[in-house]
Amino acid sequence: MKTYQISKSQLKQLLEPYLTAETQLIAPSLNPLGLISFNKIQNINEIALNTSIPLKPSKSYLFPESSSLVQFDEKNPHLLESDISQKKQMLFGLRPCDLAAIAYMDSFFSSNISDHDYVQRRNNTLILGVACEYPSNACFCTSMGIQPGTSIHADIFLVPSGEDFLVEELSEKGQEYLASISKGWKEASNETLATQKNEITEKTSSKLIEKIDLSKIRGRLSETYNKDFWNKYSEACIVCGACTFDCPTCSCFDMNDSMISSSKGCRYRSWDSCSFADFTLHASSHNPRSSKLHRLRQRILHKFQYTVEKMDQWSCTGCGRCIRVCPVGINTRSILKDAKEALGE
Amino acid sequence: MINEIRDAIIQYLKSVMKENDVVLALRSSSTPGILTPCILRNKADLDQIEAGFFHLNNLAVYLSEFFQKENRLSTLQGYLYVLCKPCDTKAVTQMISDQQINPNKLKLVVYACEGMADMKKVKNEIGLDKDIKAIDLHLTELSLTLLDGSPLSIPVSKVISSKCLECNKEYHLTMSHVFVGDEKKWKSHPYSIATAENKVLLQDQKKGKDLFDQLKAELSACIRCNACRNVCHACFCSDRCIFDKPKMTVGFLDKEISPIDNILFHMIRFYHVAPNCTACGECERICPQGIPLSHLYEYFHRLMQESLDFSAGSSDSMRQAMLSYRLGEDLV
Repeated sequence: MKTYQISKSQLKQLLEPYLTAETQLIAPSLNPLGLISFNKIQNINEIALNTSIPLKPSKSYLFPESSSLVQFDEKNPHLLESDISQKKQMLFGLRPCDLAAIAYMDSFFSSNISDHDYVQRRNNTLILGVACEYPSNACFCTSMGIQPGTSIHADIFLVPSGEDFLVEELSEKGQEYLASISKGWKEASNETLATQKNEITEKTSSKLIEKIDLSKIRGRLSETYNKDFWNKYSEACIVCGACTFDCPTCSCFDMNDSMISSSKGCRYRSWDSCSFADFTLHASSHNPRSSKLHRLRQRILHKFQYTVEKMDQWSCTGCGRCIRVCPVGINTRSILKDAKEALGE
Repeated sequence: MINEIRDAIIQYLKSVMKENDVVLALRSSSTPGILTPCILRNKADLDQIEAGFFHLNNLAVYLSEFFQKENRLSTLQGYLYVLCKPCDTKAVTQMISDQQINPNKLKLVVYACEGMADMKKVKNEIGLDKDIKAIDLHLTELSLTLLDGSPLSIPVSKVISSKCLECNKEYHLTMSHVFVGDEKKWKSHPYSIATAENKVLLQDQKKGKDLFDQLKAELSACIRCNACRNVCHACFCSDRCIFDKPKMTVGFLDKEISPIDNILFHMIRFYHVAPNCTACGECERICPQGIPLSHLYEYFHRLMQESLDFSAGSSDSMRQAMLSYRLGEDLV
């Protein structure tokens, strides 16, 4: 795998092939509401990289807020598969936390049972990561074992170096893509790349408010199940669900049928949230997670305990979006610190 | 100034709080610029209370749930004291007139609010590439420490919430309450930190815009997460909301996201809460997509005033604006 060094103007060559009518380029840019978010890019100059991560993650381009799965027709007894957009897309500007989140989503949606809808979108997607130089006050990626300056979970990874970018090939897909456009590009050494990655990791880590050592409580969070500190957070929670909708690894969905006309309809899925009371409501009207305490604890334990048990990985990448979006100041970092304290670590 | 008020609130609560009394207030959180609601049951915990410029939350939203729970468990023996900005009391008044809460066990602690922060404006001031490590208020200056350790100060007039610039300092309460601070002085002064210049700008922005087109554009970003509904004090249908059970309302409104369904969702929601909405702005603050929902809600709030002579939360007369009819009323 090669490493290149390109200038800002050469960045255009890297992205432009995706600016056609048949493909789409998704990158952080300023949206009409004045916020940075992952949008379809029309012009390379719109891309905004010098900001902290967009509040809404890029997951909706692989796992849309709502999408039709199958269609049915009264006259035709067969189910018709819904057309998934065959558009090839590039996700550009994802930071190491978001790249780790996509790696988690890949294992969630395609390890045991392969989710046709997700896998098809994923196969059509080329992912370009960028080292993170602009953390927010909510970020805690280093606590989750992620280094802001480096990642292995992308097809191509960009490391800013002064006015230039170092371009690292990480997958065959990335290698193939670069081979077609990298004519005349300067190659860079692996040492330069490693030094630059370390420098960014160090600089960005120093800006983070704190690093929590979670090694001693990994896999032990269920021991805090009946501790008092959960009350402190759940009584403030207003069950808005914003934390789950802005989480890059929250993958729960609901399925419903919708009629398009009197005889035609579709089965679609839409995002759901474990914060909501009807999420676990049984047909018998029994609800195993009836209070918001149950539901807040479930969300945290799912991220930090259950996926550790089942998949041997955290399903939190420390991106801090849940902290940024919470209107009542519930801070995931504080919960982790309280859990640590409750476990005597 | 702010600290004086905070101390006065704590002092007052300490003097009146008895065993079995409960206080619903705010304490500091680990996120800069945000306070966390808390329920305090001991006198010793009262010192945690925070109030003032970062008191963004409308605590009324907790009341119906609190009373439902306490009624079920019959645990509330004493009074519930609730910390309120004067504007938040409208929500409480409205909930009483809608018979959602029992005022007999409720005592409001209203204080001389000097306006609240708009954290979106703060973010815009510091720039998108930086973030706040710590934030504090010193008189009319907001002093910040950024993540890289550099200090920054912003005049409060630049980051005060737009809602506060239009505040008429009117509130109506017949129920048991206390005003912490000098009420007369508070009423007679416009916000010392709001400037006349800001006010003019705000009114200009709202003039001559085609609301529907604007809404269509803004609401296209909606992801139908229901956060605006969940934070709303006027949405008290709890587990009987029509948006929660799409299976029972097939063909009415699906959870599927489409531009027309998004508008329909917000329109249905608005017409449903119109007689109870006090334009507190919590829906806008909470929206994870940053949709400026206040445009919509303030607009309809004004419309209710102009056409039906009704302003939610301005009296506990039990008049139901959308369910009653007065002679001579031409708009139904």
